[in-house]
Amino acid sequence: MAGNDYYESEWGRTREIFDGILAGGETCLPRVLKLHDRRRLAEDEIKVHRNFVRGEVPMTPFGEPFQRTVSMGEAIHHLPLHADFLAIVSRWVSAFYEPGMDCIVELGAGYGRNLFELYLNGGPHPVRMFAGEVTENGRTLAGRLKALEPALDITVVPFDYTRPDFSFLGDKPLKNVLFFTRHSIEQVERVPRDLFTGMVAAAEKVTCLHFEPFGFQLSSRVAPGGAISVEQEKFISRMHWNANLVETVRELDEEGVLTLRHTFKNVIGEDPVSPTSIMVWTAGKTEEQGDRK
Amino acid sequence: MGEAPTGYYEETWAQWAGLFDAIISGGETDLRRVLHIFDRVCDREVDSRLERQGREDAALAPFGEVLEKTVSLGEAALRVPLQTGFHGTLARWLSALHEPDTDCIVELGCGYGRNLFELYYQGGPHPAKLFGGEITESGRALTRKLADLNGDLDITVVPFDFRGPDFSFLGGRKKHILFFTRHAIEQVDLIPDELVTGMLETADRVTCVHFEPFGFQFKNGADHHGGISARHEQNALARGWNRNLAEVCMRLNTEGRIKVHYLYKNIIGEDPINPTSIMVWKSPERGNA
Repeated sequence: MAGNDYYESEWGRTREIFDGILAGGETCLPRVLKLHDRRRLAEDEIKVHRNFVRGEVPMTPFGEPFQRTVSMGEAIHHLPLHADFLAIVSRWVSAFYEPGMDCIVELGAGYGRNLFELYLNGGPHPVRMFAGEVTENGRTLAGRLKALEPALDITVVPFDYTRPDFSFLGDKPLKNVLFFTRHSIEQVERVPRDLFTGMVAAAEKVTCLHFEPFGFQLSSRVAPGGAISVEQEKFISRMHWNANLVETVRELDEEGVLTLRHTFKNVIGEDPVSPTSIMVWTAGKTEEQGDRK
Repeated sequence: MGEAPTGYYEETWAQWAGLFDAIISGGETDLRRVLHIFDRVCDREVDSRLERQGREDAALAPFGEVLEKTVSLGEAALRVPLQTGFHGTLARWLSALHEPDTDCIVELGCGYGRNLFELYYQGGPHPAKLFGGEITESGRALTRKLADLNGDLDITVVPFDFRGPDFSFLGGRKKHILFFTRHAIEQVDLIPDELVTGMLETADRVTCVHFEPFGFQFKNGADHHGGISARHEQNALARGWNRNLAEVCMRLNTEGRIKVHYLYKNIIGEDPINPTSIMVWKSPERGNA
């Protein structure tokens, strides 16, 4: 059998998904394709996981499988659900975005790649985005690349972690802002409390995601890190990179300035010497997360 | 308090701006393509660094790039394919096998056109004439509908049945055609020789890449019973899926009618019950057939 009956039916179902996405107003093909993938990926992994692992599927805070099961040669491996770092950042930022948010702000945006991928991977749209970056060359390149995609609404601004200034958000009081950082705090040996209190003061409600290599900072005498964490600590120490992100957020959590919601250690290992952990904190008058996109 | 290393990054972004300028001044205007082409340049730099380090155990693709990379999850290191998504792998291989005189790229069994779209977005050859051959009417209709979203895509969608292969849609003999299939032959229990010989007659030179789950068809001793292949075979046989792609190609190779250049078994495991192997065959050099 050529399998065409099966596929007539399969493509018919697929067409229904695409019709729904297109009817929602999407016109950019890469976004349309990624929005389709998002619907299918989680469903497929649950099936594969049950076949091979036969246990509970580890889930993210927004109700999707955390990993996916793949093979290489004759061996089974577990990888993050989304295949690469940029897709993971896009998925998490999309999941914590809430309808009606004033804007999405990346601090330490470099040349803007994470914000471009957030859009191309089917992230929230339309939405105002800010890219805060300390280097002039990074800001210039971000501006040049964003010009290729007119649908992108990104404002590129100077931002220095050691002297955090959020005045670029304007004088008008904001209601709800989503911040994120990706391997940018890593290069600031000690971040000041003002970084976090500044974000907290930026809007009535604030959500912040850190995709940063802080896994080794979670190690303690009670719960020592494994081989990857030990190597990470040596590397970070030698580079004089960040050593106080966890300590600072925990202090502010204890003081009630913000609420630490989730911590996932070493879950993205694109660079095994310095793998990425994910932290999510919120602050403001609405404590419950509400519906996630 | 430590200072952010702005000097290092000022230099990095300036260097990268030069790479992006070269890509954009080459005529690229689509942001997705620009980013992926840039990534490929960076991957090459990683490759050359590994080479300088004398990493002897690095598996290499036929176009000289490393096939794997080392990542970690939790406290464990593991090796995964360099391009972790199927589409990235597919686009990289087809781009590497595309030649300056390639007339067109033809996917047989293209479904809703996804591989051809990704080939474009992941920085594949452009401009390039693309054909999507598909047996189902619903797949062809959806391919056309999605292709209409991007005016830069040059895709012709045509009916195609693996069991009665007809290449007349190509409109005459060409110089070089790059064919590929991705998990499409898998659903044809037995392919006819004419599928391969028909491709050979379409052009002076033909290159074909099969991204198909044929690993179990190569039964090489203990490796076959490593777990994945044994289960894979059970699944394919139970579903009545393809069991002769390897036999047909290796026989035609022995007869000198095609030349199988590369075989990689179970190299993409997006679906562990049905992992993908890669085979590249070409028409023989003139005079060697």
